[in-house]
Amino acid sequence: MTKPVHPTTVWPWIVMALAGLHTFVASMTVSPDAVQGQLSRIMYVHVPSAWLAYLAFGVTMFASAMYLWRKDLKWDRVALASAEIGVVFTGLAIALGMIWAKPTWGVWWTWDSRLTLTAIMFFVYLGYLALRRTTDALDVRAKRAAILGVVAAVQIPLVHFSVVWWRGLHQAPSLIKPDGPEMDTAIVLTLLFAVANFTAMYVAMMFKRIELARLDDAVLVAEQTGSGPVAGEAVTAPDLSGGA
Amino acid sequence: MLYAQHVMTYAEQWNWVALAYGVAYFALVAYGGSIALRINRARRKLGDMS
Repeated sequence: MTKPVHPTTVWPWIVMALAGLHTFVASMTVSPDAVQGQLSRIMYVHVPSAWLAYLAFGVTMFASAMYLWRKDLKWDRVALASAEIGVVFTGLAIALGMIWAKPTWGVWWTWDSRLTLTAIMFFVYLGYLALRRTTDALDVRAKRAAILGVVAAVQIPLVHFSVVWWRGLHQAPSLIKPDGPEMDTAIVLTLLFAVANFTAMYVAMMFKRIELARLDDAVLVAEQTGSGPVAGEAVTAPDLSGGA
Repeated sequence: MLYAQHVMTYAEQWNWVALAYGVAYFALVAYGGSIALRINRARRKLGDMS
């Protein structure tokens, strides 16, 4: 037997749209940076994307650890949802960083420590998603993914502190510093507003992605237990009455 | 850092900004849409099975 299909919730879509709209309006109306000019506006989508990558992979680690402890598949679904969203935002952070780098540094890409480690993190979590496709056994899949989900999280501090530990082209942290941010108050507030909006977007995406993971698991269980339609049920019996 | 403002025109700077926001919002809408499509497909499968 499969679980009954409940009507889907609409509010996460509304939150996503509003968060995107608010970020766009704030980013386009704040004054440009004195040195970088209009290009500084790219920061309002690049930085929140990078923040969401940290947050999403951190949640994946927590949910993976909870699965290993509790053996409850709901934690596995949370880990999966957060990892997939994290991969999207890591890819976005890399792409937006490249679009900013070309006019600013003169190159799309350079093997700077922050860029290289972020790219490695992106591919490791792509590997996490690929690992989940290696088996249809829910418990085996969840255990394998949970172990990788915990181990892979070591990259989060590595990526974040790479600009402090190694000298490179990517700028050091300018927002979270012991002696306060180095930016103008309007720019700091707009950046924090964008980060808050992207975080709301992440929460809304998590609701929908977990709903999808629950449905996918239900489909898998139905297929494995044979509660789905079989050929005999799907085929209509021929009419042998001769139309009489 | 000085490269952008002194070499690029105002319009050229905005072109890069437009490209960045175009990529960002296209990716977000595409990903949100993919979740919606996959939810619909799974619900339809479950509906067929019940």
